Amino acid sequence: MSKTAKTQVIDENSRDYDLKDIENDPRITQTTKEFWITMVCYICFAALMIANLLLLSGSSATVLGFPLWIFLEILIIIGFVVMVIILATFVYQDMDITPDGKLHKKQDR
Amino acid sequence: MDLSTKQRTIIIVVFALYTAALLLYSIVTRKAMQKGKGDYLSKFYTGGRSGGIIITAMMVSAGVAGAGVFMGVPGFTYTYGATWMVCCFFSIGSNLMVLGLLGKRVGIVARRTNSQTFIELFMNRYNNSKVVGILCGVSTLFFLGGFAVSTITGGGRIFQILTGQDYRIGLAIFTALVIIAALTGGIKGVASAMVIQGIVMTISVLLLFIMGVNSTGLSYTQTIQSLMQTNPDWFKPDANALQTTISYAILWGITTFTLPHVTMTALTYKDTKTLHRALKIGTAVVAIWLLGLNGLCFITKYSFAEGTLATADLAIPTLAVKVMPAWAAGLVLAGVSGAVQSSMGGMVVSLAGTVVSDLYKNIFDKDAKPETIKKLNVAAILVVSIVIFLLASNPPQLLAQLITYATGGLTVVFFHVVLLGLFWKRANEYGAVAGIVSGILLYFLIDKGILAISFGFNACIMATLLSTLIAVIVSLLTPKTPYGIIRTWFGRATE
Repeated sequence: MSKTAKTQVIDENSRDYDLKDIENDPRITQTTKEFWITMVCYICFAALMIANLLLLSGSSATVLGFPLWIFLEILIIIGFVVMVIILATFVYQDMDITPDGKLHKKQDR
Repeated sequence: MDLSTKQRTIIIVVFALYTAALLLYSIVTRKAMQKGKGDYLSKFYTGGRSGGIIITAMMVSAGVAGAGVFMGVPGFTYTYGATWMVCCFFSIGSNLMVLGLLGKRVGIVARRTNSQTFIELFMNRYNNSKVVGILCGVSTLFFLGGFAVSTITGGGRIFQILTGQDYRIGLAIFTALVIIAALTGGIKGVASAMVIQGIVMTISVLLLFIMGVNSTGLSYTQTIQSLMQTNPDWFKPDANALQTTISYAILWGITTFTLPHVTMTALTYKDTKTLHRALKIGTAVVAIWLLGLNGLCFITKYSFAEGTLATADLAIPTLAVKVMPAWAAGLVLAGVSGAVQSSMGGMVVSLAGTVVSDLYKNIFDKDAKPETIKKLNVAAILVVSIVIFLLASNPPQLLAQLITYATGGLTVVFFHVVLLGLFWKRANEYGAVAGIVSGILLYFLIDKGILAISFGFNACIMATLLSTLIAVIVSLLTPKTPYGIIRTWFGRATE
């Protein structure tokens, strides 16, 4: 029996089934991937901001007249905006958001 | 604040012009709600799912930036220095967390389940459980309601300070504008107004930054270096900096998606191209606001010695009056009003949706006639707005407590409901209920110190982690969510 045929016999209200019987929509798989990428990117940003504050705020060095750690904070924030632009342009994929739509592969864009 | 009658008159005139322009805009764009697909409720709460790039970007950005961005946040930085400055910057992640993290997933399942509101969507995910619906609905009314009151209260205080008029006149103007925008255009009306408000906010921040920097008689970096000589400790992290910064990296960044009035944006946008462009624009706009207002903290700290401000959260309005001509100070008042009205507009629509769609229609009267729903909706917008106005006019003592718990309360209730519901097939209604109840209890117990397990973090952090763990354990110990629901949420639509 094919996987599709197997899923058709399961009662909609059944609570006793194997989760593997549900074939993921490719768009759902893609959005899960994007979820993890987004989380990792944000955590890296937050970690850099916090590490910079804790490790470099004692330094008396200055860059362009700014204390080193404040200069780096500004750079990290600008870097975050650039990262979001890169994510939204090159990493996140376009897809239909209609109930039975499709994932748009990069060559479709 | 020391202002001449002439200055106050000019500020009031500029503010009145802004208010009139906004009113006119609401009336001109009132037909926007009639466009788009779907019935009345769909158009009212999701704008027919046709939100464009700027509207989508502003719904998140202006929705997050309330009076706190102009007052509370710069006030904290003025008082506590470096640690809070870094905390404030975590709000830059708000667009990424709402649009990037869950925008597309919510967009797909909301269309599959034909959900009009945030709570309706998650009720569906949790087996249409009325208990989940009631818990989420009541929590939203209490916590988001408290948040709305605190937002409008901040705006009212600035109005009073800059115009010299009664605080309640400011509240009444804010409330009236929100009611008009919501009733004439639903979420589209509120969101359209947010675009204007966002533009005014951006202009006022940039003007204030330029004039503030020029006011010291030194270059910007010279001002900072002078401040380093006189206030070296202000630039150093405080003793609890690690826990504080981690707490707010989570609360002001990641958990933005637990704010119903912001996350409803994910129900309204048109397509993923719109979403991606809105994400870029929204993040850039929030970066400008945060860099501008946080950058001004060096100026306020330099200009106002300890004890010279009535309260620290008046640092930015005081600077506006001190360094700007009256017309520009009026524009800053308009910017603050924009911040208040945009957040409050989203909150009022979200709260009305909770009362009418989530609690009345989905739980008590599934067969309610469309005309009844329409009438109830108008009544809910009016009642919710007036209750917020009355509570802000004469805040009861209990309300101060509620406001303290407002955003944390929304986080402990919705964090696991949203994340597990969207990304974990095994999450079920038993786990959701256990997580919500335990989350609220743990939050209060940890915050009051009865359970000494905060480890220096904000009480909400440990409560959220533990309640999510409880939700996971209870879900694993109880039956799976029915097959049909999980297939709708994760599987192919046509199998």
